[in-house]
Amino acid sequence: MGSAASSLNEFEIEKLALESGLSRSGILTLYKRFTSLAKHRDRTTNEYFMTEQDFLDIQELQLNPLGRRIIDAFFADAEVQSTRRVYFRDFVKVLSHFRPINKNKPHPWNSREAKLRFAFTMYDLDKSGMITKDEFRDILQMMIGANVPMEQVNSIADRTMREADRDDDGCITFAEFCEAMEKTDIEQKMSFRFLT
Amino acid sequence: MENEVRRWLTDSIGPYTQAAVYSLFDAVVKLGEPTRFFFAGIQPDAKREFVVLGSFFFVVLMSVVLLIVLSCLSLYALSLWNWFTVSFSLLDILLFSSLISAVDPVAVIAIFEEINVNAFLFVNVFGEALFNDGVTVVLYNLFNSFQALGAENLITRDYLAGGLSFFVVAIGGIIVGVVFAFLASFVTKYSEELRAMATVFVFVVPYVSYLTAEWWAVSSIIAIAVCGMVMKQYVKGNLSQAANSSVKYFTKVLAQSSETVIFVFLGLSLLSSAFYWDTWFVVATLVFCLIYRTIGVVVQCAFLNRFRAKKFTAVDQFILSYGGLRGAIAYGLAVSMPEIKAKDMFVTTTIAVIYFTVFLQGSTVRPLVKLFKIKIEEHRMPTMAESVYNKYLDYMMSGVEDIIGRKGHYTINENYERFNAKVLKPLLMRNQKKSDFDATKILRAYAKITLEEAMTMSQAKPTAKVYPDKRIEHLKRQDASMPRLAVPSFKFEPTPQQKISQANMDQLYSMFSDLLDHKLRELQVVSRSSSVHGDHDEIEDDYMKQIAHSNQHMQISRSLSQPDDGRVRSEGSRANLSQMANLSTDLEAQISRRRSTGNVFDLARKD
Repeated sequence: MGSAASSLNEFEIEKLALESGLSRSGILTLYKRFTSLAKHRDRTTNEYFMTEQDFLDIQELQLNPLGRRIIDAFFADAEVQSTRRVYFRDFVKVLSHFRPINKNKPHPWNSREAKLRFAFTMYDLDKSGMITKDEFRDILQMMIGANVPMEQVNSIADRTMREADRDDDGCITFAEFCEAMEKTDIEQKMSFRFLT
Repeated sequence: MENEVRRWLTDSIGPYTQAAVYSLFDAVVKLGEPTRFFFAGIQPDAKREFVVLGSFFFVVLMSVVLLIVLSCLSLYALSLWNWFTVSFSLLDILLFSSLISAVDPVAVIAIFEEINVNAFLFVNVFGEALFNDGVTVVLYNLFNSFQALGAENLITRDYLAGGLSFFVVAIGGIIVGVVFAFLASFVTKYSEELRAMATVFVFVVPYVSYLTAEWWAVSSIIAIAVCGMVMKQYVKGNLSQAANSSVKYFTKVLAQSSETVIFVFLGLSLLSSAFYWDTWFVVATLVFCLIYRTIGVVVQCAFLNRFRAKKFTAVDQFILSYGGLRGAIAYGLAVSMPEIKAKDMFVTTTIAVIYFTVFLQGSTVRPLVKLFKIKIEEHRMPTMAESVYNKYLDYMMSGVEDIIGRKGHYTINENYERFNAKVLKPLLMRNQKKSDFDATKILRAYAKITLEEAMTMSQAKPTAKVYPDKRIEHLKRQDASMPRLAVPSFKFEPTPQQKISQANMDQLYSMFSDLLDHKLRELQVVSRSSSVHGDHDEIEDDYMKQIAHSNQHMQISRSLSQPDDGRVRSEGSRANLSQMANLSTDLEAQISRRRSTGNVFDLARKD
C-alpha cells in the first residue's frame, strides 16, 4: 500500500451511498478497513482488490468455524466468482446486508428477505438453491464436530432436517428456511448498529 | 411487653433479611442465561464499549442519587413550612430519603415472578433493584456516619470518599461473588464420592459469600446474585442428575418460605413498632416517591434508548416505574436508625409506604400487565432448527465483525465463549475436554426435544406433523418380524378410544431408538468415569462406608464394562433393533435401579 493511498473520489462515494444505503461516514470507515486488508492493486484501474488469501489472513477469522463459508459468501456474486477479486464496491454490497433496517427508508439490498437469503446462501455450498441433508450435516460438523461424536451429529442433522423440511423432498428450500426462522428476530440479530 | 416484642423483632429482622437472599439466589440462578438481556441491545464497538457501559452504570447511579436528593429536599422544604408535626434536620431527612427511595429486589421478584412478564422487562427491573441496593446501603451508611460526625465537621474529603465508595462497594460485591462461585465449582468438581456434600456446598457457599461481603462492607446482595449467576453453568455439570433436581426444588422451597416469612414479619412489625402517625408526612412521602420514581425512570430510559437497539417503549417505562416496590430492607434500615426525634415517625411512614407499594401496586400489576398486553414470557421450547440456526448466525455475525474490523457484541460474546470452553470449563467442571467452542446448547436442545417428543408419543396422542422415517421403513423391509422393544416404563396398549396409527408407531420407534442411543452412550461415559453403586442408595448415612463401597464397586464395574463396550460400539446405531432391545433391557433395568425412572424425564421438563 505505498506512500499515497488512493482515496475514493466524491462521485464514487455518492454512487455507493445510493446503491447500498450506507451513509457517507459508513462508506469511509469501510474504505479505511478495506485498504488495510487489501494487499493487491489492479494495475489498469489503480484500484485495490482483495483475494481469497487476503481474507484468510485475517487472524480472528481463522478461529471461526464458519470462516471459510463467510469468505465464500463474499465471492458468491457471479462477476466476482469469475475473477476471484473483491473490489470495494463488492465489499460494500455484501456488508450492506448488515445494516439495521430502517422502516421509513426501505432498501432492496437490506430487507428481512435479503438478510435471510444471505444466510441461506452461506449454508448452500453448491449454490443449488436448496440445502441438502449432506450440506447441512457438513455445516453442523464444522460447528460442533470437534467434541461431539459423528453419530450424534448425524442424528441432530436428521432431526433438524425432518423438522424444517415441510414437503419431505429431502432438502430445505429458501421458503422452508424462512418459515423455520419466522419466530426469530432476524432484523435485529443480523445488523450492526454502527453500519448506518 | 411491647418493648420486648419490638426488641425481638429488630434483633431477628437481621437474620431473616439474610434468609431472603435465598429468594434472590433462586431467581438469579434461574435467570442465568437471560441476564445477557440486560446488556442486549447495547451494541458498542471496541472504543466506545467501556464508555457505554460506564455511562450506563453512571446513569443508574445518578438517577438514584437524584431521586434521593429530590425527595429529601421536597420533604425538608415542606417541613420548613410546618406541615409536619415533628421537626427534623436536613441530615435526618437525607437519611430517611435514602432508605425509602430504593427498590427492593425481594419484593420485585416476589411480584414479577408471579405475573411472568417477558425476561427483558424482568431483568431490567431486577437489575435496577440490585443496583439500587448497592447504592442505598452505601448512601445510608454514608449519611449515618456523616450524622455521627455531625453536620458541622464534614469536609470535602469526606464527600469525595463517599462518592468513591459506590464503586468500591459495587465492584467489591462482584469480585466476592465471582471468587466464591469459582470456589463452589471447584469443590463440586472433586466431590464425586460424596454426593450429599456437593449439594450442601451449593447452598452454603453463596450464603458465605453474602456474609463475607457484609463483613467487608461491600454490597452483599450483588455478591450473592453474581455468585449464583456464575456458579450455575459449572455446578450444573458437576452434580448428578438427582442432585441437580434436588437443588432446584429445594432452593425454590427455601426461597418461597423466606419470602413468606419476611412479609409475615412486616405484618407483625405493624403491631410492635412505636406508632407515630403523621398523615401529611405519609402522604407527602408517598406522593414524592411515586412522582420522582416515574421521572427518574423516564429520564433514565430516554438516555439509555440512545444506545439500545431494543428500546424501552412507553408501556415498558410505565411497568418499570410501577414495579418499584419497597420492601423489608427499607424497614430493616429504618429500624436501625440512630435515635433521633423523628425516628418513630420515620419508621411508621416506612411501614406505610411498604404496605402501599406492596399491596396496592403489587396486586394491581397483574391486571395492568394484561390490560397493556405486555408480552408474557413464552415458555416455548426453541425448535431444533432454531437452536442450530441461531448458533450458526452467531458465528456468522462474529466472522463478519472480524472482517469489518470492529470488536462488537458478537466478538465479545464469542471470545468469552471460547475462553469459557478452553480454560474455565475444563478447570471447573468434571469430564470436560478442552474444546474450542461450546456445543452444549445445541446438544441440550436436542436431548430435550427428543425426550419430550418420546413422552408425547407414548401417550398415543396423534400429532399434527408426522415424520416418516426412512430408516424404519428400511428396517421393516429387512426384518419381517416386528422388533420387540421392551421398555419397562411405558405401556402402550392401544385402547379402543385411542388407536395408534402406524405412522405414530414408526415415529415412536425412531424416537426410542434415538433415545436408546443417547442413553447407551451416556451410560458408557458414566460407567467408565464414576462409580456404580449397584443396589445401594445414592446417599448413605455413613460416608466412610460409602467411600469404601464405592471403591469396591469401581473395580467390579470396570471389569464388567469391558466386554460390553466392544459389543455395543461395533453395532452402532444402525444395528438390528431387536438385538439392541435385548441389550437395552439389561441396561435399562440397571438405569432404573440406579435412579428412579422419574428423573429420566427431568431433562424434558422445563429447566
